[in-house]
Formats: sequence, C-alpha cells, structure tokens
Amino acid sequence: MAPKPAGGGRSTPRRRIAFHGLGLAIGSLPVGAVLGALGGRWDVPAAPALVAWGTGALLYAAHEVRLWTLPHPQRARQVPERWRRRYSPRVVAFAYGVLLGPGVLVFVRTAAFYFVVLGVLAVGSPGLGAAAFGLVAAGRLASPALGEAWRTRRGTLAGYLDACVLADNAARLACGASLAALGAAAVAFALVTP
Amino acid sequence: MPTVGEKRPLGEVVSAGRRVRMLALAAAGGTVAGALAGLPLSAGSAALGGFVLAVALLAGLGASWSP
Repeated sequence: MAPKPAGGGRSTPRRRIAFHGLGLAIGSLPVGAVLGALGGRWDVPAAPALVAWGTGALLYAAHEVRLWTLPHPQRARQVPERWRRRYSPRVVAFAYGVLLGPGVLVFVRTAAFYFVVLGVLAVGSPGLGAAAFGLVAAGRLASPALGEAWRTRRGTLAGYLDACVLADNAARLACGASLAALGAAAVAFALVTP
Repeated sequence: MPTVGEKRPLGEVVSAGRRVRMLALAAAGGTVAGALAGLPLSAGSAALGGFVLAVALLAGLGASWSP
C-alpha cells in the first residue's frame, strides 16, 4: 500500500501508516497464534518435520529464483480498490492492514510465506506463531514506511515506486538464497542432532 | 534511470548458472550453520551457526551480482 500524498485535515501519511500498522498487527498476530496453537495439537516429530521442511525449502528456493516452477497456493485477489473511494483514508489504511495481516487472504509475492505457515504449524507454539506473522507484517509495513521517507526527502513517490519494481529481481534472489540457506540448515540440524 | 516498463525478467539479468551457484553457496553455508548449531560443541554454537548463515546469504548474493 503506497501512502497517499497529504490531502489536508487530520489524515497525514504518517498517521495512515500508523493505522495501517495497527490493522496489520490485528490481522496478523492472532492468526499466527491460532496457527501455532493448532500445530500444538498434533505431536509432530521434530527431526522428520525439519527434514521435510528443509527439503521443501530447498526445492522452492530454486522456484523463487525461477530455475523451475513449482505449484503453490496463490490467490489472485488484491485489496479492494473501491474501499479507497468509499471510506476515509485512515479507515482504508486500517482495513487494508487487517486484510493483509493474515497473509493468505490476498496475493502473496513469494512461496516463502507458506514455509512460514508450515514452520509455525510444525513448531506448534502460539508465541512463535504470533512472532513469525508479526515479522511478516513488519515487512509489509516497511514498504509504505520507506515510501513515506522517500516522499518526505524527495517530494514525490514516483521514484520510489520505480525503485521497488526494479528491486524485484534482487528481492527474488535474496529470498531464494535465504530459503536455500535455511532449508539446508534445517536438514543439517536434524541429521546432526542426536 | 530505467523506467518501470524497462524491467527485465530475472532470467535475462542473472544467468541460470549464476543462480545455481548462488543457491549452492547459500545451501552450503546453511548446512555448516545447521550442523554447528546441532552439535553440542558449546553454548555459542548456535550463535556461530547464525553468523555463518548470514555470511552464507551474503556470499550467495555476492556470487549472483559479481561482474
């Protein structure tokens, strides 16, 4: 969600970002905690779970860097554009945050998110689930926050949006490398731990 | 400065060979980190593992962007 230019009144970009962050927290933390609690109901053996998770992460690392294409759940739905016309900016920012927070309700750029979900389910800790989803939400919030910092410094968002698009390949590479490193680490940890 | 319309697909920017090397480097670093964290070497092994993991990530990125 790119912050809108200030249009007067009490709704400033920074306030809208704060409302967006509040919505993200409300949308993400409980979902992560519930998924963690759900995972806690099943007694998942740690070593096989780590090996399976790590192997999957390695396979999807190659998917992330476009060496091959693997299936993954991916909704085409975006946040509703009509909300921007119907509701006040702060309400829209908050509602978009609530909608984006759970992660699975709208389009997700990367398959890595689903490994977060699987990891939270496997570990079975509500606290870790909330923390993991909170981190994903913080990443979501970073984009409008950086956009606002850019706009404040340079007076326009156009350059920031261009930079975001051009950084897409670098983000894909970083995501793939992270998944590969974490997947290999998980497998190695499971095999070495007595 | 390139415009949005000039964004090129990843496959055109970084060759498949470089992407494979990047993943292999990251995975190798991750393997070392995971093994170190799993071995009962010392209380600091997990921290060392995390450090190696970060280095692996940087090495992987460096491998992909080297000229």
